[in-house]
Amino acid sequence: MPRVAIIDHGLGNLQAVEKALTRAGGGANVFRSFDPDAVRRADRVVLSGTGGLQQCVDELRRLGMDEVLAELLENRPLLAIDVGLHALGRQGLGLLPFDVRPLSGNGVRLPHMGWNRVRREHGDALWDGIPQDGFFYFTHRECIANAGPLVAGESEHGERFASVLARGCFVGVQFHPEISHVQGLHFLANFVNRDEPGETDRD
Amino acid sequence: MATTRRIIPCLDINRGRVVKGIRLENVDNCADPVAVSTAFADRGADELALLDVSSAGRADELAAILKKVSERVFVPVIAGGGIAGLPEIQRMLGSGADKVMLNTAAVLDPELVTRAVKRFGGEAIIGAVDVRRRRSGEEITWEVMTHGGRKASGLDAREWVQRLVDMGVGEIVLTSLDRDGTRKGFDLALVENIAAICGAPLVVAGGAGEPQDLAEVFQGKLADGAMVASIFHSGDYGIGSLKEFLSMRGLDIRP
Repeated sequence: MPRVAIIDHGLGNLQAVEKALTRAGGGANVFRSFDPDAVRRADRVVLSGTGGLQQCVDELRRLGMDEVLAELLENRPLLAIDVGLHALGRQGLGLLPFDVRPLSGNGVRLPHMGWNRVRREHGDALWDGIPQDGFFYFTHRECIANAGPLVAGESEHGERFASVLARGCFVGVQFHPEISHVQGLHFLANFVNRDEPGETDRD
Repeated sequence: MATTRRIIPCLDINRGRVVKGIRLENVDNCADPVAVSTAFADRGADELALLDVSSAGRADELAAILKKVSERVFVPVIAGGGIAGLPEIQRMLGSGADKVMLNTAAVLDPELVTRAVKRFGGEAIIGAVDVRRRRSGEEITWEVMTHGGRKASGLDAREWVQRLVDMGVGEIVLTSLDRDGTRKGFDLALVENIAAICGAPLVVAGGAGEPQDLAEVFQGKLADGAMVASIFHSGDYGIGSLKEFLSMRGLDIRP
């Protein structure tokens, strides 16, 4: 059974992330940890967050997670959610080439709060069983920009923005799968249970 | 492609039990907050609100319920009722709430809102605004009420909503106490008045009795969501039939 670590920076509703992964993971060993070595040893890692980007980045640095995250991006399935995703970009730890900017709020109210569609641009085992334009829950004021080839899905709230990023076995989502009911749980189950290339070679 | 209109069942909770008589098909114990929450989420509720209505402000009880609910319910959960300060907010968010409603405490100490937004992020903080109609001559205004509607604050609803949004709350929940529990429909003049100035998502409450009442506040995008309870009293409407009705009217609703 895969070991799934949730990076515990103490910010946001990590309880929901833990419960949803436990429910979706079908017996996976799901745990929260602020210990970089424990996170390093996990088979899957989840970095979620809400609230202020700077607060999240400061806390990750204080815990010594910045180096771990750089390693994970090379060789481990990593799921980054909302501010946890933002923390990887140029305005955060600078590990991935994208920017974070405020939503323009063109003719719509902010923050972007509620259920919205995700249009994904290419197939991936992560989306098995989830319909195109499926609904997920969003709650954010800032969005991803200038992500170039990382963009794997888009949503719209007054403007189009990247709601899914992907590279290798990394996936980042602007929405919160842990509170996105059946489709969210399905997405998390796919993340926990999919086979990764070369995974059997590793201890 | 746009954000859908939300239906948010509200469970009034007193001493660990759901009060105000919600009736749900195939749910034996409609007083059990966990059973009711799970049933609503599985039948299509977009979010759930758990409101502690015991005047004592039983943070422990609500936190314990939230923990159980969060194991079974995977839609956003709002906690409210008697939340007085940062420790209670922390407690609710740590127990599985995604958002916390501030009402009386925000009126008594607006600085609390600013501090809560800074500490937990605006997306987790809801400005709950309970109002009553006031008439002075030709003009109708709405006054903000506190303490479960028992005390008048002297604040004008429009000005207070504007201030809450400026302080960074992620959402406004606007309740008409004149209509609450009456099932006579929303106070449309109030909703139009506030929708015109509200820069944050607006959830309306108080008065929904028929599916058509929801269509009225969702049409023209006046409200982003509706918090409902009394509409489920009779057992005539379920969340599924409500959503079907609204979809048939061309409204963008999550199926």
